[in-house]
Amino acid sequence: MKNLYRKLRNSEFLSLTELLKTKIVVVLIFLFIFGLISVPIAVFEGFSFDVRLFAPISFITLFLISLIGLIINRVRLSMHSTIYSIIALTIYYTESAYYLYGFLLILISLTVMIFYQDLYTYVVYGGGLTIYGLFYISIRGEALLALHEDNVVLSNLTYQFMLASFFLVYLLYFILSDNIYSFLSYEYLRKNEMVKKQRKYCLKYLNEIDEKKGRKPIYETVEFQKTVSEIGVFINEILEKRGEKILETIEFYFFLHKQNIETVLNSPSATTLTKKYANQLNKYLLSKDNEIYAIQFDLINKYKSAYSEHNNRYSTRIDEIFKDSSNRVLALLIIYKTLKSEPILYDKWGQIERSYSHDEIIQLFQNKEIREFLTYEDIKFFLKHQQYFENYL
Amino acid sequence: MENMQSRINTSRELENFRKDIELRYLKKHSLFVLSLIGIIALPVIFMLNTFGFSTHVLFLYAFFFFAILVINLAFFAYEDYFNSIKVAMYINTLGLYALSASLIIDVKSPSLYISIFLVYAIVSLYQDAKVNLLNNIAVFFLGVLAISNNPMIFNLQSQNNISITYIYLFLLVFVFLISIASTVFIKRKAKFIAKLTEIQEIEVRTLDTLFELETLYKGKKAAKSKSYFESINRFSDVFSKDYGMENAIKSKVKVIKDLEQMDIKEVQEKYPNYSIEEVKEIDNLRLNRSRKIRYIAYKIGLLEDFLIPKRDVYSDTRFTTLRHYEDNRHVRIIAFVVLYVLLRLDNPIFSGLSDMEVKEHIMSSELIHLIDADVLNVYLENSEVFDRIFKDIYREEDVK
Repeated sequence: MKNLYRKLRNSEFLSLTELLKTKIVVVLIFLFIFGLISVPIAVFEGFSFDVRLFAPISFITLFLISLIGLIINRVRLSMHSTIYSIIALTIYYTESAYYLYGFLLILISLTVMIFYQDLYTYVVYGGGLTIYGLFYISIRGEALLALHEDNVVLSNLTYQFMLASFFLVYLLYFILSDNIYSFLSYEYLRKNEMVKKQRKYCLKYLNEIDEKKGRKPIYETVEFQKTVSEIGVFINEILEKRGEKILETIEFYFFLHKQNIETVLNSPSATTLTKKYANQLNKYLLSKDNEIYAIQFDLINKYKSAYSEHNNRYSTRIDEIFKDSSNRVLALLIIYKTLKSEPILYDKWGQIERSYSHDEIIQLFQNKEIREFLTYEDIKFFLKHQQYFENYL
Repeated sequence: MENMQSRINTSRELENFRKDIELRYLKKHSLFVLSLIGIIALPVIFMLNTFGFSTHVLFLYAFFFFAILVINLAFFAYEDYFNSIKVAMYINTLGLYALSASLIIDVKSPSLYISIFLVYAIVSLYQDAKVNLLNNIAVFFLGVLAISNNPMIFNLQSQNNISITYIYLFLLVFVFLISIASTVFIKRKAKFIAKLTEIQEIEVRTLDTLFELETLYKGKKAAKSKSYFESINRFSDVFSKDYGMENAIKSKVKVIKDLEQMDIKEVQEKYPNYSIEEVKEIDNLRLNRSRKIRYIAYKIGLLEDFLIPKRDVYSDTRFTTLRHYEDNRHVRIIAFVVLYVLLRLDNPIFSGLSDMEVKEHIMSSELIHLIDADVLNVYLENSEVFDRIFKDIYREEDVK
């Protein structure tokens, strides 16, 4: 329970699969309690025989499928199964004489679907259940009237309006959420790709500096390998008792640095287990940019004194930075000159020694991403006068 | 002092950036909520009319909707957009719950009890943490009050007596599930916005690190300003001559060259026809590593083969973590140990941390959530052993 609370509290750091698993656990707890309270009591109440038999059996079966699905890591199956369980419970109640409970359970079932926050699941199951609810009110509306009410049509319309609106408002909620997620995620990925590219260049320079000084890459040094092995064994001893079992994986990790990972993954002689480990360790190889370097660079950047420029610090569009048109032209000229003179690109020997040619700059200025820096007018100006740029810069 | 001022300005710019993103959604979502309030106004008035309420009551409800609309328009027109929309959000939330309460009291129909759930749904569209908290509290208390003060509305015409305890139970389950769902979503959205904000600064600093390493490796200044400005002057001479225009570029180049030697104020005194703001703008065109134009040019240069992995938009792999769900425990241990040793070692641009500093950094940053919990616990409880192993192997004196 404490673990569940901790996971929900730090839900923003969970992966989508872990989050879904946590949500399934919550729904299963709810279903277990609800089923335990309602199913045995209601067996003696006003149900038809087939409902009395079929509904509890299907509920228990679906509940068990959800639980097993969760244990064997079939989380999607488990999620769908919990939804079927709650639907079974809802039908169970709507078929009873407890009409208001039935209606409220339709709302609770919709809430469970909202809880999972999956658009397609909500549209399919939630949509189906809402339609069922609308029909249910048409048929059972009279039983949902209060003692002092007499207008059944108006009461039905109010129930139906509330139910349909509830479904539609949450549908809008999901569409908006989806829109937010995809926008933020895309923007983040775009920035992150640029940072990754910059980090790749940084690592290249770091390696070159090491090479110039006659130093081996860190992962090839005995000290590094020994430290990783000894600390690794120590941790594993506490977690698994037989600490040295990890040594084989550590050796394989350092071995992978000298291999082409694709060759290992496609090798017919490698076992499935070897490939599995190779695939998992590949993310942490120090011979290329990875998440460990990302964390290290975050730390380096955190403590370095960044350049003092702070007005328009994150703006990169020259029309936002330079209000004066001649400054804007000058900015364009400097950008062109930098691209043409500075070694920014990798040459055929893998060194950062090549600059852009005029034709490559034309191509670059037609790249979709250039709009983050230049306006349509800037590009038009460049393309119209490109001969001047080529001849004099 | 200057460095501290720079940090304050940086965090202010970041804060503004974050506010800009939030405002974009806040505006959009507020408009949706306002439209929904407008849409439900008609059915509510129609329903009250059919129930036979007097014109006086109908007028009061109509006035309520009109007032909500006017208040919102007034707040939208207010200068401090961000805060005024937030105030409008709270007013709308309380207004909608007040509407729901008065409908339950006036009409006394179980069908209108459901309106509190609909209000909850509408308010949740704001997707704002504080409004969400208010929403959860309001739906629970209004739900409880509506049942406890009007239990007779659940005396139905059907044969079975309804147990009020069950209605409370339904309300509790609804609030419990929906509040977790909305809180989880809002927290994840806030994390996304924080990450997107944070990466703006990371990008600036990583590029700065890249310039530092480039200079270290090549052992020279990155840009040769003299040759740059010679060719730019040549360009502007020919261009202005061909088009019969005044050469405005050349005078700017002179200012830039002076800015390499003098400070902004001195340059402005030398060129009184430029204001301080204009000189500051020209200062951004200097080729110095720390100036904007070099930063932009380099970023454009990195656009070659720039591909955004669109398949990752909905995947889990977008954020850095050492706690991948599919990883074996041995792999998670290796990931942490490699990071630990890397953080302890010096490199040309980084002075390795002591064990205490590593621990402090882990505890004070989000790294605490990115490392396998079991592995992290072993480290936190035995960090002196980690330190001993490290120091035994790296016997150099400069190891912290």
